[in-house]
Amino acid sequence: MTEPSALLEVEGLAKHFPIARDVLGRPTATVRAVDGVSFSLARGRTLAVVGESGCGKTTLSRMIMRLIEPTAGTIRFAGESVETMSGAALRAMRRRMQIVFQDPFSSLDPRQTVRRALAQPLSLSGVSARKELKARSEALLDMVGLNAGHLDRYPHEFSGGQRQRLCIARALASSPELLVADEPVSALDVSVQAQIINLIKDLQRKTGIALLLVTHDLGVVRQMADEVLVLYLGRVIEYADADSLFSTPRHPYTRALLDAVPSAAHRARERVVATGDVPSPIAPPPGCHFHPRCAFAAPLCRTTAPVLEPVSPTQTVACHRWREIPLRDAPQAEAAKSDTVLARRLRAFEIANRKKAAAALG
Amino acid sequence: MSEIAHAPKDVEAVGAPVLSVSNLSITFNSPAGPVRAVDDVSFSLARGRILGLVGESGCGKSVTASSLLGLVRSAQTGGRILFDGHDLAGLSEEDWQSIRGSAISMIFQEPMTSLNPVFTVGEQIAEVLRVHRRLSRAQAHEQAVVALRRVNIPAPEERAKEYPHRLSGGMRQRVMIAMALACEPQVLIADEPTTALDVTVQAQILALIDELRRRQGTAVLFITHDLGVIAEFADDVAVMYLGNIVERGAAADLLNSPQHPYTLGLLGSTPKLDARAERLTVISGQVPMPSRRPSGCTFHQRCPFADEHCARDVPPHREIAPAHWVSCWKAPIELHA
Repeated sequence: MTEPSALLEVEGLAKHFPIARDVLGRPTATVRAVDGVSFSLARGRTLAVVGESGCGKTTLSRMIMRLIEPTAGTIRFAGESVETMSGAALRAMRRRMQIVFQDPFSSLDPRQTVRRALAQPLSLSGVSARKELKARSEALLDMVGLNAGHLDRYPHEFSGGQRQRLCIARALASSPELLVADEPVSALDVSVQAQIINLIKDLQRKTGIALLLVTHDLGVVRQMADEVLVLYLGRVIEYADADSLFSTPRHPYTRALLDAVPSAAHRARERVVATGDVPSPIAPPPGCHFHPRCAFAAPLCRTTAPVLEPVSPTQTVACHRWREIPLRDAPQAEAAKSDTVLARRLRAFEIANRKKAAAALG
Repeated sequence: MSEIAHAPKDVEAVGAPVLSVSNLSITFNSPAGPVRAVDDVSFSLARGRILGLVGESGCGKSVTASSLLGLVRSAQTGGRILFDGHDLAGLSEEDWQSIRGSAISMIFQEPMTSLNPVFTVGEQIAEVLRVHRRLSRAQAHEQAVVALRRVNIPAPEERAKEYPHRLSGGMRQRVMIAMALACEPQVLIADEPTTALDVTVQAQILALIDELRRRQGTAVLFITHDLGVIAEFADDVAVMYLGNIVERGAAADLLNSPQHPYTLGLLGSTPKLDARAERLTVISGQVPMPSRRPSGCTFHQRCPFADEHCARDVPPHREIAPAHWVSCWKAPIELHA
């Protein structure tokens, strides 16, 4: 999966948080929040980092932004080592990678108008003339589906979806090459979620920006990602292109995750169930971290941690038993069929929507 | 497994209505004038069946649920709620207290804020039993352990002695369910009970609620914004928009053949797992503030099929197919495709 033109290359990245120290201040116990993660991301592509709470996905995204210092490993962005940068070089680098957070309510300053919120990153990237600031701000708002009329409003005057649009506009102000999106739609209602997902995909097509998407929502991953990295308690357990991962998931945890997503198909199908909860990252189980919840666990899994092995040129999995575990039935692609009543009505809805939008424009 | 009888007392009674709501309206007074949160809502809950109530933030689904427990105060309410043949309107606070947690129970989204941090989970479940069942301290404790075992909590005797903060999110939600079901209520109201949980834990909790309603014949009102949960789990569905039920019917009918454009838009907006779409179908605009209810059909401004008729007149709730109800002038949509 290492593309020749990889924009972001991460190698053996780790973060160990000390949780207890001895009298000399030396750590006696650590949480391995991220434990040796490697991946690469090419320009214009989307990599999704997936996992449940405590799997390390947020720590990973913060380390790439250098908001958290890594314990070990390398981060190369456009060929340069990010993890050793400091001062002006780091600030310059940060303009090239931006982040959008989950909660659009707490990531905007309530006392700042939209104009000021956008002017700050714009002036940092060298736009200073008033006229140009105004033109660039309006262009940014237009890109995210807002307009010049919103410039002098405060965050509280906007709905959640509009605020997330603002956060995206602000992140795009410095024309970054990489956008890190940490659960960008999780706090939004379903209908607004779909609008933001479409918006991000459109922006990506227009600007060629690379997207690192951090989320727990597999539906969102399916609709946005080109490649997927599945984390469990800080380790990568499967890394594959999205089509392989969703059609032939190899790791029992990936399968359990996919099978846990509620859908009508489950009324009929047997599923792989992960029993119990995610264990505490303070004391992860030995061997394969997933073995206590795994239906396929063998004695080897309890003692030895599996390493990532290639299943195909575009799929790797960290499981001792992946060869022996039968592939899961392909999910019934009911909704993908174009001749259902639902599909026909959705098309009618789309057509009517487009007509209405065209009529509104005059 | 326990002393309490679990099998439905009367298997034939599955499907018999336990609670019926007719023409429920709830209006709050705000400084800006009256706000109608729930408008002419009717549905019924049947023994052993799950009714999914779907809608986005602010559609009135939680207010509707709270009113079934007499928890909506300082509001004008209209309509009728019949429980087991009795009208719940005008009950005294004392009467409500004997119903809540005993005949009708509720579980909430965030189990941490619903549990008391200074009592063990065993004590909290035992209290419900002592109040409603007048059990002795020892009997109540014994039954609390039984209740914990019933929701598949391992080592229930030990867990009963734990404080809530010692348990994981999934465990806490199990405790909430154990508490809600301790008195074998006829109706369980679940308000987004799995939204705060990880997906593998959500699957376990859904399976648990499903198993309990089969075993005890509980009628379940399941509130969610997740159509996937509805598809997997609910028998019947009601879709709410701005205080109205705009469509209701059997889950399979409504999800495969939605008649209301809002339901259709919601289904199109939901990111699916089975195939990647170029773009998701979206509903334009956003839900208006309840204080600014549009005239006519409340969805008309966002609806691609709407015309002047929709903007002017409120559509009636009509039965478009057997047991499939919709409030839309334009249904069936095929006529306009």
